[in-house]
Amino acid sequence: MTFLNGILLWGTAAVSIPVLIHLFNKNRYRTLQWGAMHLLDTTNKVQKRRLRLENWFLMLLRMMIPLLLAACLAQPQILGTKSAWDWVIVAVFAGLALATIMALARSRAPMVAWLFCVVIFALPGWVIWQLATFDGKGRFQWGDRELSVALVMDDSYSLEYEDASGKPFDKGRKLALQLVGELRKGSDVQVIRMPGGPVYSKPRTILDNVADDLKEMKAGYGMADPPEAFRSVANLMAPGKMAHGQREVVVVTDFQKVSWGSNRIAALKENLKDMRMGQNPPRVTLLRAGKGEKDNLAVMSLEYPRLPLAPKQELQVRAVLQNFSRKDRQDLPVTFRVDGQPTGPRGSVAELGKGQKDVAVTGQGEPFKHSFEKPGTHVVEVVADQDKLRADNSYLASVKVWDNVPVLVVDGEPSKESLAGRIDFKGESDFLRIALQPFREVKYPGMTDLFDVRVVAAEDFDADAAKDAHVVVMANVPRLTEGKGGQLEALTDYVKQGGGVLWFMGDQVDVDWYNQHLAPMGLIPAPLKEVRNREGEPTPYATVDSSRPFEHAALEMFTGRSTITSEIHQWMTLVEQPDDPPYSEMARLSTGDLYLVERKVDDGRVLLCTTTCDEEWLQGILREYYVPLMQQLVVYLASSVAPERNLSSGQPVVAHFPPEEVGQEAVLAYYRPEEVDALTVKLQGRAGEKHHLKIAANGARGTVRFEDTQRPGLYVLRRPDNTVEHYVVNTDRAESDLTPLEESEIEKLAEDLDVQVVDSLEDYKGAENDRASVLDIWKWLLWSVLILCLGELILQQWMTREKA
Amino acid sequence: MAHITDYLKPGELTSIKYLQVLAKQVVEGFITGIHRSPQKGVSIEFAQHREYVQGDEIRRVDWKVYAKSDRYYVREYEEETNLRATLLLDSSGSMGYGGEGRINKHTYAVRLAAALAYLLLQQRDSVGMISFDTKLRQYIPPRSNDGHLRRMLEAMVASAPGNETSLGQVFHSLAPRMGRRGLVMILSDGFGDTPELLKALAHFRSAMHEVIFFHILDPDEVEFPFRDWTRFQSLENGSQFRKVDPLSYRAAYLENFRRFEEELRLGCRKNRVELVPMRTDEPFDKALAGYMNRRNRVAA
Repeated sequence: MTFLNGILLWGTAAVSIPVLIHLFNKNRYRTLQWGAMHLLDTTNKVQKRRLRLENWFLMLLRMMIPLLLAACLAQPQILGTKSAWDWVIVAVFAGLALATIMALARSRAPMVAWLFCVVIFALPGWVIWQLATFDGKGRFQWGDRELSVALVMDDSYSLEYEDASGKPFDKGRKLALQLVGELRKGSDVQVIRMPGGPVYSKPRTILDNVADDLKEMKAGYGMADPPEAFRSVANLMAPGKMAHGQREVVVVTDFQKVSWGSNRIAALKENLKDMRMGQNPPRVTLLRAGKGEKDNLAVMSLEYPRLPLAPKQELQVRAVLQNFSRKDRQDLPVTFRVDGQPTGPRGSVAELGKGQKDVAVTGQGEPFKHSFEKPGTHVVEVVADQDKLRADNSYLASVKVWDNVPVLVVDGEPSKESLAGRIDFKGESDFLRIALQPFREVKYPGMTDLFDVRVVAAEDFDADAAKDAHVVVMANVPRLTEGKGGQLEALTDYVKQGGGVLWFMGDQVDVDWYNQHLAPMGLIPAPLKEVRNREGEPTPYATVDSSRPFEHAALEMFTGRSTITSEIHQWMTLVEQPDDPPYSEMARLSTGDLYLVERKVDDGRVLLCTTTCDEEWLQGILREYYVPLMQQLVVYLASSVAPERNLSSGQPVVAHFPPEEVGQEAVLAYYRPEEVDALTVKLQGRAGEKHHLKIAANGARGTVRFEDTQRPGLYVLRRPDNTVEHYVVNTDRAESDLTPLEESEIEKLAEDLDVQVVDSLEDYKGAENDRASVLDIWKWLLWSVLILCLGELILQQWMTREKA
Repeated sequence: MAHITDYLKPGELTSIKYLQVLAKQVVEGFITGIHRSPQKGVSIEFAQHREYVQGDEIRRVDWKVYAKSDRYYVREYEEETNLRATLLLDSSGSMGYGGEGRINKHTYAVRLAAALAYLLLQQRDSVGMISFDTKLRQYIPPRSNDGHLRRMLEAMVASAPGNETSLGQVFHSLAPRMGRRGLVMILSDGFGDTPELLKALAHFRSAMHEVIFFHILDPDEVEFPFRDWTRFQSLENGSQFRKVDPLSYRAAYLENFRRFEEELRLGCRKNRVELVPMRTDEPFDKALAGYMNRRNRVAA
């Protein structure tokens, strides 16, 4: 015997309650001066015995009620195999029965008493009989008892492959519906999506609803992860989660090699072990949905520069295609689409061998190109041929086109010219200004800059100046004014409300003041230490350490490409906190000192570069790294309030809103990749799956967060001001490799995991009869408790009856 | 000083007043008036006139007085009967039981005895009283003179329940002392050795006494209504007790009670003893009145 909810067995301690009540009452007697003492004496031996028997019997009933109730709640199941405890229970019950029979005989109990005992003990006796004799074999017939079923549905996009016989997902769904339809009433079902996890918060017993939900279910999700699904099932098999002892785990899947391959076996085994940990492990069956080889061609990724993009700037996009077919493919047409409309010349891949990858190019052998007219987010898409699996025929990307980003540069050592808007290279920020708005400074025709830079002297900085700026650059600023309405307060407010500040060091910087006023509030990432140099050493300068890849998003483009090649003669060292630093380092110098550091402060972000932004402390500012580096840093800060738009499956959509829009509603619509067109990107035409999201207050701004992004495709967000933003979810393209496991591999998988693989429901049901099963007895125990309660009532009435 | 009104309320007195005890059998000695006697013709002494009340025999109406006054009077005589009645008042410990809100059995028995004594003395019958427990406690021989009632009442007041019972033994010892045959009225709960008690009753009967057994019980003893665990402490013997769960014991108790009652009833019938079951929650005057009426009918 085993218990699904063994912890409730502690409830059997309640067996002592009747005894305790008896003892308590016995010791809480009242004394009565009484005359008819001789009437209290039971002189008749038989009567005395019967009275004692009745009392014992009543006590036995009262003890059995809580005992059986606790056992019932613990959901006991009788197994085919017997433990020593089972025999102890059988022996105790047999002893009790024998003692009762003997006592009844000795007290010459009337027929009605025998009958009463038979009625009372019939059900518990039957349960004990089952406990002693149940061998678990050949008893299970499909539909003859309630089951607990964990139904794992593979809803990855590979099951969307549509050929003449339909989609594998539809076949799997049909099998699942058949299975649910034939379950006995009272069974409970949990549906687990693979990927996606459990559909219900707890298993459902209303099977019609489960069937309706299955009918509504859609595939097209990301990559199937059987080990993860098995972990969900293992959690479900924990005590108390499912109602019945007879447990079935049915996995409906297409046996795709990438999901079920030999590299997954170890993880699967591990999770299966957890699943089968209890005394009554579930039976695991893998139900095959769709057979046969399938050809597929997938757009694997889009490559485009991550540089900030301004209107009219050209974007170059390369698409990587892979052939998952069994044969080579030639002349594969590829279309480039922007905002749902074909754009520019068509591209193609001339020849793509079996399993090979290549980049699609236009007829001129160039990448796809496009310049955007308007700022905002745009959807770019590369679509390959329309094969039978449509989900991976295109790859989407959301591209942000920036409008002029206002940047305020606070110059600690300005020249008169630079303050007047001209450049004489004497001001601290002159190089920076050129880097941020190159086209304007060199008067390049027809091109617009991303940034709109305004330079002020350190003493002119105030809250008003910072108000419109997306980013404030502090270049060699000595100190800020304190007190109410001072510059320090203005900067603090600015950062806390979500602003970004970029600090550059220099000879003007008052280290003590910085450490006293800025460091404690986190307005600089770490306290400053001292200015260092490498004078007198063989290499009298330091360089930026690019021996390791840059992991920071703002420096991604410098990894494996051009490195930051300046020669730094002087730099500010920082007080580092190796244990649990409040800042994150972005880059270090070759000397090991920090070069770029970042820290998040409330909604805002501060970045610190330990050297200058002009040539005062370094050389090589005119090299090619400078412009992209400065632009990346400023864009990174400016976009820290604009969360990621190109998401992977399951990563939530997050959008920020101005505080006045808190409480209003934003609409998020989902479109499958093949539904993306000129109308859907504007949230017009085809309705899509719409979600109405309330904008919640989050610090000084509003935020919405949408978690259910398992399905790849386009998520269009309409803000309260009716502008739209695009979020794109792409999944791991490994799922595009539709190669199924070979028959021999499936057999080996079944053997390794000790599960059975079947192709139809008939095979599944037929296979059931040979296997051991368990017997749920909680219902019988519940009935026993009810009968015992009734018996107790009758017996008590009988004992206190008034005899004629 | 004890007075009849200490034991009988005025209402009770009036309801008893006009009832008469009729001996069922012929009593020894001479008789005048309403009692039938084999010794008719013995002279009698006129005592007083009394106003006629319903139930008086027509032949006792003094027609001369009627002729003079146009009112019905009956004549009453000294020594109208020599019915000797003896009240046997059980003063054993078990008589001390009284359920909640009720008088105990002994008090009830005393009131009943007072009522009977008064009634009999009103009829100018002679009444005696014996109170006893294991042995005889007090003996007041039957008299019918003035002041006798007061003596008896004082004796009743003095008697208090205590000690054990041994009805049979006491009755055996009493029977020879009772002298001439008469009416014996036992007021007791009858608890004790029932066969012995029945033998003693037979003893009375063999001495030709008419015996009425007022079997006085408390409702608790009849119904056993207790629910909580109780330590039943004997009223007769302080060291004797039983601790029981009354709920589970009730059936057995009631069975025992039924058997006891049956035994007593059959024994009384066999010995032609009139058994009158009385419960202390019944107004005893009404119960008594009911009995007396019944007795009258039997006598008629």
